[in-house]
Amino acid sequence: MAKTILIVDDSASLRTAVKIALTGAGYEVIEGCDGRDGLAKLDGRKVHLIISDVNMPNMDGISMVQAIKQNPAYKFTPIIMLTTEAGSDMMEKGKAAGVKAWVVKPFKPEQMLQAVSKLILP
Amino acid sequence: MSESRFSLPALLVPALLGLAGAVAAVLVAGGGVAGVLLAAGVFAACMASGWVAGGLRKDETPMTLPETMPDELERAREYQQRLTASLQSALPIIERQIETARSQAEEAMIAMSERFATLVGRIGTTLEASSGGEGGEADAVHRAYQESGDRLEAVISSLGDSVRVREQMLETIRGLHAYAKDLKSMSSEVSSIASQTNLLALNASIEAARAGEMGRGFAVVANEVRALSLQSHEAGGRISHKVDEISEAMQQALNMAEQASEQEASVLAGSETTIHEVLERLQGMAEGLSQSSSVLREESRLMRAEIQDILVSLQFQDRMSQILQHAVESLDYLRAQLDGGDAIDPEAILAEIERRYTTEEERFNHRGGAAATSAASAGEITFF
Repeated sequence: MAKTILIVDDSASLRTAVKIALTGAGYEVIEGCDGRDGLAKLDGRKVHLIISDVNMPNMDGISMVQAIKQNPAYKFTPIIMLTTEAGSDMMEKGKAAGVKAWVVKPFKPEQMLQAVSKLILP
Repeated sequence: MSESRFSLPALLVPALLGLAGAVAAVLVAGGGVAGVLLAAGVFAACMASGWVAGGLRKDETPMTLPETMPDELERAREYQQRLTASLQSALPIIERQIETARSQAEEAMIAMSERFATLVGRIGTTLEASSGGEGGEADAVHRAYQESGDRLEAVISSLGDSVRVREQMLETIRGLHAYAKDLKSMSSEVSSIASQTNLLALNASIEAARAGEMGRGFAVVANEVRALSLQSHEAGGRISHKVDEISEAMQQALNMAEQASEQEASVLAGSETTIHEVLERLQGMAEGLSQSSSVLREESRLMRAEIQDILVSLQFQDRMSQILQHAVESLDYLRAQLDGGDAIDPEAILAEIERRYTTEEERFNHRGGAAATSAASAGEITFF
C-alpha cells in the first residue's frame, strides 16, 4: 500500500511540484495550504511523513510542527521543512521543534526523494 | 533642525535602491512584460530618490550653516515636506503595481502548474493503458502469434501423419503385388505338372495297348488320368488368368494410391510453406507493433520526465512571490514611518525591513552591491 505524505505550503504551484515528484515515486500525497489547514488535514489519518513550508499565512510552519509534536499520534512522524529560509536561526528553531530535515527551495526532486526515503516511517 | 532629519533620506536611498534592485532582478527573471515595466517604474521612483539625494548633497552646506539664516532653513523645511508628500503619494502606487505583478504571476503560474500536472497525469494514464500491466498490447499480439503458430504446426503434423499412414498402406499393397507374382509362377507350375501328367498318361495308354487284353483296365485309368491332367492344365490357365487380372487391378490401385500420395505430399508441403509464410508475416507485424509500442512508451516516459522538470523549475514563482511580498510590506512600512516626523529612526526602519527577509538574495541585496540573481543555497538539505 502506498505511503502517505502531507505537503503543507501556501504556494499552489510548489505543492503541485512536490506532488508530481512524490506521486511519480509511488507515494500518495495530501495537501494543506497553511499550518492550520495542515493540522486539519491530518485529522487522525495515517501519515508517514510531513513536508512543510515555514512562512505561511494563518499558522506558520514551525508553529504547526510544535502543535503536531504535541499530538501522540504524530509524535514520531518525520517532518521535512521545505522553505526559502536558509538562515541558521530559523533552522535552529525548526530543529528545536522536532524537524528532521531542512530543504532550501527550490528543491531538486532526486534530493527530495532521497531525503523522503531516508526519513519515511516503515 | 536636527541632523538626523537630513540624514534619513541619505540612509534610505541605498535601501530603496537595493529594494528596487531585488524587485527588478526578480521581475526580469520572471520574464513578464509587466514585470519589466514595473521594474522600470520602481527604478524611476528610485531615480527620483536619487534626485532627492542630489538635493540633499546640495543642502549639506546649509546644514552646517548657523541658524541665523532663516531663508535657508525655510527652504530646507519646504523641501522636506515636498519629499514626504511625494513619497506618501508615490509609495502606495508602487506597492499596488508590485502587488498586481506578483498576483498576476502567481495566478499564471498556478494555472500553468495545474495544466502541466494534468498533462503528466494523462501521460501516466496512457502509459498504463499501453503497458496493460506486464506485457501490454504488443505482447498480447505476440502471444496470439505463438498460440496460432502452435495450432497450425499441430495441423501440419497431423497431415504429415496421414501421409505416413498412406505410405504404409502403399508398402502393404506393393507386398501383395509380390504375392501375385508368386501365385502366377505357382499356376505355371500347375500347368507344367498337368502337361507332364498328360505325357505320363499318354505313355501309360501306349504301354496298356501293348499289354493287350491284360492292359485294358489300365488303359481306362490312363485315359482318366489324361483327362484330369487336361482339366488341371485348364485350371492352371484360369488361375494364371485370374492372377493376371488381380495383379493388373492391384497395379492400377497402386498407381492411383501413389499418385494420390504424391498429391497429398505436395499439398502438405505447400500448406506448410504457406503457413510458415503467414506466421513469419504475423511475427514481423507483432515485432513491429512491439517495437513501435515500446518507442511510444519510451517517448511518453521522456515527455513526462520533461514536464516534471518544468514543474519543478516553476518553483521560482514561490520565491519571487515572497520577495515581492516583502518589498510591498517594506514600502508600506516605510510610508507609515514617514508620518512619524522627528521620531523616524532610519536604522530601525532598515532593521524592520531586514526582519522580513526569508531569502539569501534579499539579505544580499540589503547589504548593497549588484542585485543577486540566483538562490545560492537552493536544494541544500540539512539533516538534524
